[in-house]
Amino acid sequence: MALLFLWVSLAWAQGGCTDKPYTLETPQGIAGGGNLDYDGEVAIFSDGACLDTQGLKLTAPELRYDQAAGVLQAQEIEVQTARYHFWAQTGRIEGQILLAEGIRVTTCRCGDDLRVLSQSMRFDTATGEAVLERSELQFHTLGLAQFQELKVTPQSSLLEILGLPSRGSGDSLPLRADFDQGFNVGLQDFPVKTDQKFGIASSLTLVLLNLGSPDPGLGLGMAAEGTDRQGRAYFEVRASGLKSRSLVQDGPILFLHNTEDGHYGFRLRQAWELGGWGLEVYGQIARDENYLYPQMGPQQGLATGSELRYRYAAREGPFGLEFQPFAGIALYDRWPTYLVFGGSLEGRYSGEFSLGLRYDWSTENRPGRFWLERHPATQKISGDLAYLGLTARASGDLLANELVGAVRYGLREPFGELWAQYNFCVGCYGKVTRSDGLEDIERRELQLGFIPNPLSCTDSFSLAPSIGVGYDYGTTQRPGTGWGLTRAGLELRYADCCVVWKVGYQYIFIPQTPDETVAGKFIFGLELR
Amino acid sequence: MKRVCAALLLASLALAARFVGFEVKPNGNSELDATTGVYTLNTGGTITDNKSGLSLVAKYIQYKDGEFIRAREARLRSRDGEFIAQSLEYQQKPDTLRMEVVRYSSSTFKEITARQGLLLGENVLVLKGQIRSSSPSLEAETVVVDADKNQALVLGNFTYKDAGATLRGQKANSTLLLSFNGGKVQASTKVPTNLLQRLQGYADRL
Repeated sequence: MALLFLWVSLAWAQGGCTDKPYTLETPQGIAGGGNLDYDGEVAIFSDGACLDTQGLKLTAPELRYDQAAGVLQAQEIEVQTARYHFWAQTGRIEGQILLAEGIRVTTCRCGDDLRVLSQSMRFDTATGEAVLERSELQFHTLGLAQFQELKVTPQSSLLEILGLPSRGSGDSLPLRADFDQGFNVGLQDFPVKTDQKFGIASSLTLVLLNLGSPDPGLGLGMAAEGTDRQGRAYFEVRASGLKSRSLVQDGPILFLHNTEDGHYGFRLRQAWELGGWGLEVYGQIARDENYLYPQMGPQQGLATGSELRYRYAAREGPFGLEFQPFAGIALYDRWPTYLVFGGSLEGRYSGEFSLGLRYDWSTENRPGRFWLERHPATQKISGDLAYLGLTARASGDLLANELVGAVRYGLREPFGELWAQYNFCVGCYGKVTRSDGLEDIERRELQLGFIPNPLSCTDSFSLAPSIGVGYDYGTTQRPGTGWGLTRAGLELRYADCCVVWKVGYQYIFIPQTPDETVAGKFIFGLELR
Repeated sequence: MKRVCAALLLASLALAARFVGFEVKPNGNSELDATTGVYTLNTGGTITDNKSGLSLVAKYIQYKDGEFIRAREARLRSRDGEFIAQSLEYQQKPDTLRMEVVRYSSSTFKEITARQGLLLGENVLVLKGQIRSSSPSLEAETVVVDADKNQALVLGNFTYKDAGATLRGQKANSTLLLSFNGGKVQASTKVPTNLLQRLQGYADRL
């Protein structure tokens, strides 16, 4: 019996199970059940057995422990972690590892409309980390994607586990539905089935754009990502024209194009790494706009070059320092040699408060011929600070004589967070042309808002209002309007078993960033619970 | 748990032999009430049963041949261990030994204490009320040991600690049946109804 107790104490971390009639309590955790049988070799918790750890609660009709073999076995296992709900047909625990088969995982609070089915799972009961093998993502009865291996950590969201980019706040589902110039609707980075043997996560984007506007369009994109390679392509057909972009990276091959920015390049490369040093040698063919003589129009040609990098990182208690210098050379046909050097220096303190300071610089003898090898001249100082509810960040571009930043304070109340954020840009006036065709403005904006606590109950809703006021200095093309309302928005959230539905509307009265225009935007979103 | 049960088993077996013919050594005077036939040893003394190996040492003893022995601040020794009780009463008919504030120790068991103890002629020992033992660590409300059937039943809330782990029965009607078979111990919280009723019956007599 002593061995049984010892084994259980090793296998399970601190927890509860305290409501069960019979419990086995160890310094690390508790096992329990409606009844206990022990014959000197096999101990069986039955009539609703459970095992609790700090971040995990396991239940099964019966838990059977073979003391001689040191193995615990159970069937119809149900495991609850802070974020996930697992079911397994059979499970076997040896040491601190749970090996289970016939797995069903969901993040839903009730039911399992959205789930991952896996053939087997290896779960580390000490760390809470799990590896799921041969999995399929399902929504209702629809199989969406297959995965050879999924790694689960207690902190990671389902989207992170599936290797999908998380858009916006929280675990937004890969769907798009919003209205600005027109109605945009479709799938965004939607996971798709792949052949199991490749072990690559793939996604599809298919979006109808600006429906109801004079310039409707269709966006089609595909992406696949493996451990050491990736490929992405996106095509957008509009009444006004076609645009596309792509990136393929696999071993020595790099290909990219972007019709909007005018970048095209194909590079063959070889990289070496030793200690903190890294050297890349490449040859490429590319096409770009002419950075040196823009009036000459786009030009294309060959290039060969190399780039040497070094990374030094040190950490002592809460202090960290990182220094990354680099130097590059590129040789062209019919173009002067390009030389560039620069780097970054970053110091960080992460203790009772967090403070970071960073300096980025780059010096080039002249603009490089192509975008791929270019490191445009830079001198930038940036910093960030976080202390309790206060966060601040600022970035000063010494070459452009421009300072951009924001200071935010969030007041935590039992019902949610009240926040205020001051955004500023000093020296922005006239630097770029905004998307509405006007010159950029000096920015001084104070935003106020409320973020309700995340919805924890099913069939509950919350409202998140926000408002902004700012000073409009005007431009040479139009007079300033002084103080005024910059934006106002409201987001309604409703939670059901599996997802949080979001409906939001925001109207921008005075555009603050170059990509904003005077317009209203309706957003519909789905977020995983 | 194995050790607890083994110890309880030994205790009951050791006490299965009764005071049949015993020898009395008073510390001082021995008073006889001629009308009742009851002897009183106000300054205590020793009662020894050489046949069974039992000896009772107490600061106060009252007894009547063939009927009862009563004692206070008593120490009852057998070949395998000893009971220390604030008071005890042995009745020859029916063959029972009742103890108040009892402590039992043996070579295999350091000590177990209870508010009350009852040893029955059926070779059954009942311990009741704040049962505690330190090594192994056990806390229980009621324990019934049936020596003939090689079984012990723990009733009510119990806590057993061993190797840094704690086994708890945390219902007022918790049950834990321990069965001994050739040195092996079987423990089960599922107790057959007829067995539970029988052993519960013994517990109710205390």
